[in-house]
Amino acid sequence: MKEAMVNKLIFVILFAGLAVVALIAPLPLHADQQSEHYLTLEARSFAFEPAVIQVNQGDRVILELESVDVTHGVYIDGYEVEAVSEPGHKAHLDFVADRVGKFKYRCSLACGPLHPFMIGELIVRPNIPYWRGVALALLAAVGSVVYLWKSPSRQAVANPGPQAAGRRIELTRIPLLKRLLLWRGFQPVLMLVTLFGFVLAVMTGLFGTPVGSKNFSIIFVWIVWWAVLKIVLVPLTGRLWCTMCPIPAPGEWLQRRGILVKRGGKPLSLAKKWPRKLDDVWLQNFGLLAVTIFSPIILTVPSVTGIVLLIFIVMAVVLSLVFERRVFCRYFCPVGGFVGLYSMVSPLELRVKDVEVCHNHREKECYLGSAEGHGCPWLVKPWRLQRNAHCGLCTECLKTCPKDNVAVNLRPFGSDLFVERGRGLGEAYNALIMLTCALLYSAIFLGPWGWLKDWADAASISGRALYAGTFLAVNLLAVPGLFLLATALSKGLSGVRSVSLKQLFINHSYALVPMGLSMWIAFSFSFIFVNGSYALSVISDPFGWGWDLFGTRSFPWTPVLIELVPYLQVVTLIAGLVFSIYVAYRIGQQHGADENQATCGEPRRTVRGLIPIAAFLAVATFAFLRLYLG
Amino acid sequence: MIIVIGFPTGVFAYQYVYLPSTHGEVKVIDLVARAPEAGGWDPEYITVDKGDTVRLQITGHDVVHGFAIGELGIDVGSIIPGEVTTVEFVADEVGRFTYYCNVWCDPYHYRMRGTLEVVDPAAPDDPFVAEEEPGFAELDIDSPHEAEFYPANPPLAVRGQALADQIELLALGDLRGQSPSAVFQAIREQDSVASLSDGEVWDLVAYLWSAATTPEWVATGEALYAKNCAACHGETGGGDGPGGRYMEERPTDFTDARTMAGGSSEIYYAKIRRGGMGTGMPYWGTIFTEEETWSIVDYLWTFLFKEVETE
Repeated sequence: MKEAMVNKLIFVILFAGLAVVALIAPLPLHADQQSEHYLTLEARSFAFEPAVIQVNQGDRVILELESVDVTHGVYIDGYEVEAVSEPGHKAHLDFVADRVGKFKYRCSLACGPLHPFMIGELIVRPNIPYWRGVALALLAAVGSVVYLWKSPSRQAVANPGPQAAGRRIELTRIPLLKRLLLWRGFQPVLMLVTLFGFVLAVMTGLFGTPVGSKNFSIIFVWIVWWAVLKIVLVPLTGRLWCTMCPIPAPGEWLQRRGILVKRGGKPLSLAKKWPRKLDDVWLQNFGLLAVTIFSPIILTVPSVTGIVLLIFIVMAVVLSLVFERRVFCRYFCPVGGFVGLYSMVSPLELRVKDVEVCHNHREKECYLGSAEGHGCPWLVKPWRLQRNAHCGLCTECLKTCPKDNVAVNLRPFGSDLFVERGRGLGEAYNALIMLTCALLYSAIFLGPWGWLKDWADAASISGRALYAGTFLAVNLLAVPGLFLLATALSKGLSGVRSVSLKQLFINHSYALVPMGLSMWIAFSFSFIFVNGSYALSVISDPFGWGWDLFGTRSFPWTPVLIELVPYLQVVTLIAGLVFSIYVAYRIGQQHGADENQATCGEPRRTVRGLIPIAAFLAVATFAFLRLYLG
Repeated sequence: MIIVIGFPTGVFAYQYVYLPSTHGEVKVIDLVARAPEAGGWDPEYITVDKGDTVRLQITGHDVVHGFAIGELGIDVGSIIPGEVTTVEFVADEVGRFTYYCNVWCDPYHYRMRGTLEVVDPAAPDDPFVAEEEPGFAELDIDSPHEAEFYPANPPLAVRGQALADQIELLALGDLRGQSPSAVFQAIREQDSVASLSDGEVWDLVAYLWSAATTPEWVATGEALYAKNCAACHGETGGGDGPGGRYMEERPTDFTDARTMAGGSSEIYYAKIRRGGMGTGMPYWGTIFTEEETWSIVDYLWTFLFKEVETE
């Protein structure tokens, strides 16, 4: 045992050492002779030509910017140089490429809907950050697999039961927090704040300036909210956004005939039951795909954002008047689908303390409601709650439970990913769609390929249909197909027989969850530092009508800390990769345990089965690194 | 309810009731700039009274535009999308003025024009009578005018001046109505220049052209050219501006000596003011004053004739 510990330690030190080497080793890449580059950079909506400029470190770059359709500017990340060209008036940039890596150059003057995505790439060789990132990711992937091969765990993770055992810190033991959560006004106050922002977003979307970068709706919905959701709320607090989301609020308040009412009389609703057949995440998957297909328009045109938000809130109100509880959140909200999936990673959970107490308690106020509060709006039976996926953290059950048997806990990241109950093909596809979309968005919006942007922006119906068809095919067929291949290989290598290929596909897809989340975090890093400064100007002039509420209207577009972005991205991606490989391994172990055979005798079969999955994850990571750093 | 209904009401009341009440005596007009294919100026027609203090609040809705009012000397520079650009002036002259976008924004950029009408409140019914553009009818503006004679190398005015001091030239008449080609021919036929080469005669022509204007005048024309003409005719006059890419007929290349030497100042003046029939050349008669138009013509000649040796 002790020897094993020493072995593990030696192994970890070895790989850590290699990682350090990968970080600081002088790479055998050296710049060729330094030279001067005279380039004409042609700018048109929404691409630069050339889209990629490759130079060597130390080269002098003289760019002549020529806009050929409307006024464009060019700003080079990291070098912080800028030039603006009106058609017929060329502008010049002259700088020495002294820093290595990939730097995006982007249009610096609003030039139409896809302006924020008018991006080219300056690659200053040797591209050391990229190669170091690739080396680290490779080491992380290989290291994780070899580590598990060397010291395979003989014990499968116990399938966690409803009563979460193990490492938990009960937050509701903190009296102040508990009182806050028991306070009736807790959720409504949060909702009122966000509802205010929501109404403003709808109004600015519909009536404000059509220029996205100067409109509150675009900046606060798609930059501020999205980044906060992806970088902070989901990874750390799971569905905490659902606690405060304004969209279901009016419908719910109508249903309850009040905002602060503890217990409604007869709900203002037909209170129909949601059909069992549709008790799945598929509607949300299709909603998500619909939104992502039209995202080039939704993300950039304020009026469309306003209309989409209105559609959401009207749907939520109508559904709460027809059906019971929060059917919109549970079955329709496209955001709710993936937030639920990714919330399983978060270290925050709401669970019952002791399942036995519930079993012996017949009244079930937590589901049916009581004088103290409403039955679970999310159609969850708290005593059966094992995963965060469907718990909206509304804290009603904390209020209704007469036995004080509900707790909010801190727990290890990713605990729910090992829960077998509740898994399904719908969620598996949600994980795959989110992973695919992170990659597609990075290529379409943030990549240098103008033809892709033109395609996404297609005006003709046939062009749009072709784009939508391709987008759907990649999401629903190509990437899932590759993953199915990886799963089939895994099945062959691990020799698991008792689990069907479909079930293996579903089970392994949960290993994609940390990876997908880290990709979205990395994606969000790439725009929040670049475009976050717009928030300051639109907060003073949300409609673009010339107001100056806080004196910050004229705050210019200022990309900040851009040099940090690639490093943050590499760290995030590698953390996601290692975490995902670990999850895949643990899931594989569960299959071995299901096999009900002496897997302990051959624990390495699980590791063999891990290899194709790990390879799939590594390829996704490399693709991402290539898009952002390569 | 307060948030869903009260808040929007408050916002609209502030924007559309309270803010206008603070404007006082100033006549505030919101003007929206869109590319012509998306609608152009909104409104396209503005009427104010003589003596009004007018404040235009201009917002762009798509790409960068410009805003200038012809004949009033108002040019506010770039209209950045989503930002409000304000310009204030006193409408003290009765008449119709053309406001227009002077930053290339669209294949139909030159159609982005609107009309500002200043009426005299004392006599509001007096019909406004535009001054007729004189004299274009008898000019043959649209025929091709390839020169019979044109210089092989850029003629230099300084050299021409040195020559002119030594020889006596016979009267040539008003140069504005004559093409360099014709003037060259007229000089060439004079006995006093028999010993000069063709190039030297061209230097003389260059000198005559340069003597008819001043450097300040040319500079005025150059600035107007850069702002209004370069997008199509190119920064260096080569007819290679990006705007020309959208046109069936390539914009005139002013550096082509054969074309340039065949036209007269009057022809170029008329072309600018009236526009080119059937070509992409817009009319500028409602935008440039007559003096401004002549200054542009003077600048155009610098593409053919150089003052001094460059490079």
